[in-house]
Amino acid sequence: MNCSRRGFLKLSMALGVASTASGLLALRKSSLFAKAEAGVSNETMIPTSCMHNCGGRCLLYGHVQDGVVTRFTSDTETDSPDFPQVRACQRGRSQRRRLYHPNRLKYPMKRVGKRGEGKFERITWEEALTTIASQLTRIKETYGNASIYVNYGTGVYGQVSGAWLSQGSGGALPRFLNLFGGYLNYHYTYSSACYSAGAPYTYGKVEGNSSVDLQNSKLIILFADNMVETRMGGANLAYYMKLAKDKGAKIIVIDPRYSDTAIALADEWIPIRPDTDSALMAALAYVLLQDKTYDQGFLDTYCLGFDEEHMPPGIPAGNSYKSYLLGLGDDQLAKTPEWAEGITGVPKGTIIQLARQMAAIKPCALIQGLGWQRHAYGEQPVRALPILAAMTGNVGVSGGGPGLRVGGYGLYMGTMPAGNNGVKASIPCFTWSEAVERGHEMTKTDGIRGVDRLPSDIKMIWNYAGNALINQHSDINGTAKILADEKKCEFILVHDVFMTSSAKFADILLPDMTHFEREDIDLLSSGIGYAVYHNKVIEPMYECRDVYQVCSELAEKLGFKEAYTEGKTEEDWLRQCVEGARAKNPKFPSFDEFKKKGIYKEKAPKNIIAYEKQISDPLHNTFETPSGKIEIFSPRLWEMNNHQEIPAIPRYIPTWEGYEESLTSVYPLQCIGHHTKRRTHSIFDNVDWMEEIEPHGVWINPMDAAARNVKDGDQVRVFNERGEVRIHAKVTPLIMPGVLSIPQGAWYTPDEKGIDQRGCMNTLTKYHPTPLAKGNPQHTNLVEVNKV
Amino acid sequence: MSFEQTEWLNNRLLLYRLLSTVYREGVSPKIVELFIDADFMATLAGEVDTSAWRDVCSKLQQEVGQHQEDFKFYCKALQVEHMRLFVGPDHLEAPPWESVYLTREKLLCGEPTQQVKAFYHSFGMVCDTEEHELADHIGVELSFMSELCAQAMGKIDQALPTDDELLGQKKFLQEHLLMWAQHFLADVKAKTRMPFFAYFAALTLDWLQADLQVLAKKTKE
Repeated sequence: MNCSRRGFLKLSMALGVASTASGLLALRKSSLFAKAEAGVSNETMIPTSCMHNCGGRCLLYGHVQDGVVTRFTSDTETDSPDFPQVRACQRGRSQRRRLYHPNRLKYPMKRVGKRGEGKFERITWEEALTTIASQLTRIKETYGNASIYVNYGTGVYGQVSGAWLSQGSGGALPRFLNLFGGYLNYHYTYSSACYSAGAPYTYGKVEGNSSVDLQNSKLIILFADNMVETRMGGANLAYYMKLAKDKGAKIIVIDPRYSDTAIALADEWIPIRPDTDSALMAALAYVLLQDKTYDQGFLDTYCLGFDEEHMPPGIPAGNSYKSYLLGLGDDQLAKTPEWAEGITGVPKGTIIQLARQMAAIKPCALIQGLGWQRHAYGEQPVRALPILAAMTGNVGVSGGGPGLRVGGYGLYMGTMPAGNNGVKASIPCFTWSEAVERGHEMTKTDGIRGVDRLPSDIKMIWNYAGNALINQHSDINGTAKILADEKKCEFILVHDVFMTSSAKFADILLPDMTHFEREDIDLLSSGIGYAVYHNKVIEPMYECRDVYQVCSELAEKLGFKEAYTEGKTEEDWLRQCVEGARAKNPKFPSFDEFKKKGIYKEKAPKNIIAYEKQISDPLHNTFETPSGKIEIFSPRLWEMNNHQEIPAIPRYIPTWEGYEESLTSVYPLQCIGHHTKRRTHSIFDNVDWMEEIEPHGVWINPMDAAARNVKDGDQVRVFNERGEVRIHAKVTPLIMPGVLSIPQGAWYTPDEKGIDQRGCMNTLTKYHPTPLAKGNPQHTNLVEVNKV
Repeated sequence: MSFEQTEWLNNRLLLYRLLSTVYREGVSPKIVELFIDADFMATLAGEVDTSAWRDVCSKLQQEVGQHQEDFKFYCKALQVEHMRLFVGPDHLEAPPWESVYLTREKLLCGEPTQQVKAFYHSFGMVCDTEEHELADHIGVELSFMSELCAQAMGKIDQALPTDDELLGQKKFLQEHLLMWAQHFLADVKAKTRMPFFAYFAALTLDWLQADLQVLAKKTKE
């Protein structure tokens, strides 16, 4: 045998290739190829969706040829104000860049090295599932089911695959965990904790005039709302605002930034310092009082606690809202426009003019967004705006509103039943990191519900379709330390489409499908109510598996597969959901029709006016508060006996790292993290088109920039004692002086020194739950910035 | 002539298979050992008659030869590097798909992928791996060259001409592999932290270019 043949014989052996009778070597059957089938394929259009947590779920069509999506288009049905096109925004249209991104997670991985280092090794699904099953069992046996926590996530919405768990919402993941004995619940969200906590103390049940009703308003004042950027989808709030503007509504936008909403819609923009909104509202109320342009009759009939004459029994004098305004309360401070100017930065003339417009132009819709309640005392402005709505007599009125968020019309949809959770305990979703550290010490004063004290620390985190493990949670550096301690949280499972900053903390990392590789149903409540059936557009890529698959396989390992799946496919469950919808709503189409069309739109049967019955017929319809009235003064809050931080009336509370502190701090600039149209929270950060639309940068006013010798485009460091980011400066007069904004959601990318190179807002935010909601105060921060 | 032809095809089949395996699966200890096996390296060095080729073979042999003491550790490091370059979970330094290199969008499943699929289809084949790898992965494209070698060898067994297969290989190199390989392999060279992969990338490019030259001659005859 010659040298060459010996050499290649060794090669063939190393490759595991078989030899033939002739002594020559040929490929074994384990080829990468199979015989091709004959086939012609035309392009098909498959209805699907863009269904992330942007406040919208839009219709997309996947154009598929030969098993590949060549592009996505959107709703092209006849468009009318009654039945608007559910058109995708630029993010929805860029979805191919997520679907076919080379960096998609493709294989299960396990951690090697320290947690958070980000070093992984590829493993088989069998090994991954075996590990997860054994960890689940061990942790349940050692610490109990209440030590298992599903981290807050909203990357995926859907009746089957939804990531966000809310009681009664069903889905594959809670169904699995409930059959396993349960898991630690959470309540509230990162979006709306203070709103959900605060608003019921005023109104009982939370309602809003529908977005369609905005067309009846003569004046719309937007507080902390940027729907043109945050609710862009075709049938979403931005569209209805545009309709309202076309009908002649005057629109005033109050926001530290001249946002896209201000650009697109506003007749007037009023910049205001972050955290000071309650001061503005108190001063507005003061002007109405002084001018005597408020509706005393309304307040007398429907409200508790506006003035001393309408207080609940047993409360000392001076605690009504009117006393607060006039300086007759404990602080002896009249809430004049002059007083408010010093705090808010809004000139007193502007305040007076705003109040007078509010009183004179009717009906007036006072609307709050969620921006102002992601603050240290976010509960306060939530409850303050309703008072202005009450004073101006706009509650329960078409074109007016209760001073809450805009409401909508929703469709009922059946669920994939999750069953009952054996664990009753529930934590405010923002406090999970604290529950890892000291869960067993947390009680009702920490916002715990369902039990008096948590039975255990969190020992396992299941992080599915979410980036709140690190990226979207406050104080990234602090949180990273908590997560790195393997003795605390003993097992972290991450299931996602990309290697996010949260995924770096996984012990087991599972590749998820994009929703284009599976099917589900999504809903939106807007001016119309609609449901989207997003069909499977292509076969799953690589070894990606969705949550139902993962849970089914785990259920098999744990011995309850039959009970879990009931032998049903995802489509079977979705059929069931549609049956549920049709049972409640005979107009809902059949499963086959719905799946084929991809969308079902329904108009509200009548105009939705919040608290219409309570206002038109108060004798027979009370508010769902203890007194039956709108509780401007809340006896329940009073009884909590924390008047400094949880006052019974909404007050301006100077906050930690607020405006007053900035005047003397080494960190003199307030810093918020607004929601940008180029991401949906942290989704789309790795999409090139979106970076082209809006390159990531910190918004800084020219005055603040000049003082620091910073020019537009300069690389700067933004920092405080919690951390430091490197980011480009966007020098612009569209943000008020004294305030920076780092658009939230950029992926935390630390270098070896721990300095974030991408500019993730949460490197700078503080873990400091709000007093009542225990919510996230991510817009309350003081920082400094200088040139690198 | 037939036997020479068969041996030529068989050697190319094995070499393409080797290249394919390294890019798809990484470098197993068995394969690492080949690079210090005198027989194999002598054979390999003789496959292409240029000093550049002999030089890169020698460099590979030297490089692996330096790690006989810490062999196990070295093999592990090679696997970790393979994952870092081509598999994930982090940002891929050299994403090994034709579509990423030849489209403006730099995404998977672009037009090149469809064209490669059509090319396979024209030879009665479809890419079918356990993990649903895409047709235009470098490893799959290299393996396709092996498949055509095998198909040609089968034709010889039946005393049929192999023109289609050889022409197909030439076309595939010209229209696909060599359209993007230099950029991909340049990225591997630039981004890798281990000399092995830099040399292996050079070896890969040299092989593809040399094979095209031989095929060009053979398909003229």
